[in-house]
Amino acid sequence: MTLQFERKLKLTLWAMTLLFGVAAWLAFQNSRRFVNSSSVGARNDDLHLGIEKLDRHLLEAESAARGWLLTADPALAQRARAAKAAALLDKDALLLLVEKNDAVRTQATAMVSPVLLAMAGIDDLLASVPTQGQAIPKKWDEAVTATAEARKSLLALDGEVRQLAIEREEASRSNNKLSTQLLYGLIGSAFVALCGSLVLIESNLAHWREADAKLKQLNSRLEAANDALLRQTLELKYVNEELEAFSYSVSHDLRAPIRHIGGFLKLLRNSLEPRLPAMAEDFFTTITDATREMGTMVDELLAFSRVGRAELVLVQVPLSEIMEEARKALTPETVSRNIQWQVGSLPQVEADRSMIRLVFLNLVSNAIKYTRVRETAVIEVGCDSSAPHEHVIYVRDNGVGFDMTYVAKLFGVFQRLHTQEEFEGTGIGLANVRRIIHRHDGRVWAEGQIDRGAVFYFSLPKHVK
Amino acid sequence: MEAVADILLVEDNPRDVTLTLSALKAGNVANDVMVLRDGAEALDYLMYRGRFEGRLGPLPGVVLLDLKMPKVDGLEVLRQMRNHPALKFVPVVMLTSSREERDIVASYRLGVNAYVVKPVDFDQFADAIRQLGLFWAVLNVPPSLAVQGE
Repeated sequence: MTLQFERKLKLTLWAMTLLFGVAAWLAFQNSRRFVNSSSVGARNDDLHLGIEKLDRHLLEAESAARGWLLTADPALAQRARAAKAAALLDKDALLLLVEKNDAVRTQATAMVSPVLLAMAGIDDLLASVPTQGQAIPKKWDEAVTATAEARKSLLALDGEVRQLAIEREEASRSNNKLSTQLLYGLIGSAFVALCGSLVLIESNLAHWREADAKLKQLNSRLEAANDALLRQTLELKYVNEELEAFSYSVSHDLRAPIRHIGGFLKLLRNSLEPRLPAMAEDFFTTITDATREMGTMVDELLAFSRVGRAELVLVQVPLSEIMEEARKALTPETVSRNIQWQVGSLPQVEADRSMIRLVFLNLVSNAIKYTRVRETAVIEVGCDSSAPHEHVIYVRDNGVGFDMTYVAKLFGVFQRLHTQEEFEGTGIGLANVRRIIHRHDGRVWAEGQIDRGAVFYFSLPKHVK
Repeated sequence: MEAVADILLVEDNPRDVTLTLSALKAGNVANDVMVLRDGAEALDYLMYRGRFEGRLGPLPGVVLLDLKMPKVDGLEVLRQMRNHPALKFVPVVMLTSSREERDIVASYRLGVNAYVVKPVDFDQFADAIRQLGLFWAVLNVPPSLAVQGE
């Protein structure tokens, strides 16, 4: 939309520039034509004046000549000669003026011979003997006629010049009118284009303002959501810490009373007779076992809490070494067992050594425990490092396995898929494994099938952030 | 027969006192045991002052000190002992419920001789107390007796 708007705006601006350019050119042309036409007008005026002068001198020469003929006054002859000479000059000047004017040249040339004839007539008059008013010589009439002829042709020339001037003026006026109209048209369309682009900008500005407002609104909403999320995260973290502290202090504070129950139970038993009814002895045993169990759970919870809170001490840890340590530590559990170990090569990782040791201890111990029913237990430990960013370590066994339906429960605290009678344990081991691996930015997961064994996987990043 | 060092037990919980004493007895640790209920009393006893001013009897061969006590806690008792010329070398065993790393570190930094987390299981607890009594009160030669023997 913005692109389209930009194209439109550019188009109108270019059109405006073009229109103004043409208008400017036209205006320039017009003013030049005006200067031209006024110079033509000036030439026409010169022509008119020239004709008038020639006419006047011709008339003066003729009448002076006739006066001389009547009075024989030498002053009149003198005047006639002077006027004739002036008329001659006027004629030459006129011819010079029309030289570049095609429209009147023919007419001008046409007046030359009558004028010369009239002058010849005047010369003839001046050459005659003055009559002193007694007789009018034949030459008199001839000169008058020739002069009249010449003046007629001059009048015709003048008419022609006037006509031409009028025509030219009209043409120029209509031309002027046309170009003025054109100019107005151009300026008008440029103005329309200007208005159009203004409207375009205004409407788009409105769009923009609207979009901007919307954006700001969305932004503030996003910020609010972000704030809420941040608050929630903080709250969650706080609640989590609270829960952690609570479970820690509860289990911590429970230790003493549990110890007291166990201890005073013992003291109670010792204060009684050595032989008690079998049922009473059973009760003592049950209470003692329950107390011990409670104690174990509380201690495991504390250890679990420590795993979550203890600072990670990251060092280079060769996992094959850790695996060996774990196997050695678990030797008591493998007594009188037939276990086939298949330990592949394991990488060196950057991790907290004691925590990773706990992971191996838990997983291997589980594998030993849940293959107890097999004549030959097969426990396979290996690593797949083909992924770009992580090592995937697995512990596979051919033990009793589990139902994948309950896989989500496996890693929970005190969650068990077997009864205490089938397999002893409290169900904290895998929770510890998950907690430790998560703290190392890894993942844990498991696959299993009832009676077909289980595989526990965990991943560790190849490069610690 | 060598002189047998006394044991000073500083413990605010009467149940734990009973259990500790019975565990020592069951473990055949026959030393005299002085029981005090808080840190302030313990310091008075060790420094022969307050209600123990002019008391007879030597310093104990070992002090079993509970970490968490009202008023003056185990760490404070330990700190004052280690700053006291006469008590500087008296063996102190911290007996506690806490496996908190910072408590352990703080205790060792103040010069504790041993740090024992009371096992939640009574049998294990009794065993631990017996071993402690045997080692610190019977086998170990405390500095005060060493001085006397010279």
